Amino acid sequence: MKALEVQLTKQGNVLSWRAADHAGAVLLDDFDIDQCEPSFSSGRLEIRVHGRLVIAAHIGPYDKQPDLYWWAGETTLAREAPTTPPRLGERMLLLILTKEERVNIPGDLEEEYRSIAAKHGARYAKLWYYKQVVASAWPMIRKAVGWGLLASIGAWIRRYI
Amino acid sequence: MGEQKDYLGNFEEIVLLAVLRLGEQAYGAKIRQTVAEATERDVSIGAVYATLDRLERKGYLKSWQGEATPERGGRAKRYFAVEGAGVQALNDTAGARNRLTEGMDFGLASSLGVI
Repeated sequence: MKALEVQLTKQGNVLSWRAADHAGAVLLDDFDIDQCEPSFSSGRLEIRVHGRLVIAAHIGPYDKQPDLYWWAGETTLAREAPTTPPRLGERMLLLILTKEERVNIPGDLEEEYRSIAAKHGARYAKLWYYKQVVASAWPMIRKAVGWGLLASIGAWIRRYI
Repeated sequence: MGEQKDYLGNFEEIVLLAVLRLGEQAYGAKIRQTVAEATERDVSIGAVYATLDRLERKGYLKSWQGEATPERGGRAKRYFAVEGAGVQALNDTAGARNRLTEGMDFGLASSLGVI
């Protein structure tokens, strides 16, 4: 039976984790890395900090309960939290979203951003985030305004060209 | 002719199939990843949501708010599930494609030297 290895890293107030092909990070209030404890059951990895559940991720499939090996460390290399999406990008995104969309879509992008930042670094993740915002602008505007109005504006512009 | 059938656009069909494949795990980020992997293209979250909303308006999907998690900055997930009308539209679209391609061997591209 293959063992499941879990690596926990503290960078400032960010707790990063890596297990099998999965990785993620969470921004917490000040915490002690020695108070982090992972557990694994039925394909689900849970990490508790000071007894409070802060991360729950599906890691499976494992047919049987694997042995869990984990280690935790602290690093001070990060100058900024790599798990926070760029603030300007988030503001740009909110500009093109309706009130109802301002919860789910930024949440989806933040979830992916954290995963990409953990795998490829904050710089790559920031670039990916801005690319998503720019590429999302046209479909969201088209949805909000509707094809009919856009076609009317196009026809009106053509009259004066 | 029977009742009027509604056929799906390419991207609508792919998104609907992604929701069907993901089952209980069908929410924005996962749907975007599944579509991007299947199409081998970088797909924007905006394009995915615009299509999901259109499919929901047509009655092919339903959605509901899920739980908020720390990984999402405390923001809730919006889950999607395919309705019966969505499965019917997928079947109608696949049926039309099968009728059109029946007996074709797609040898045209190789005879033109394209592949």
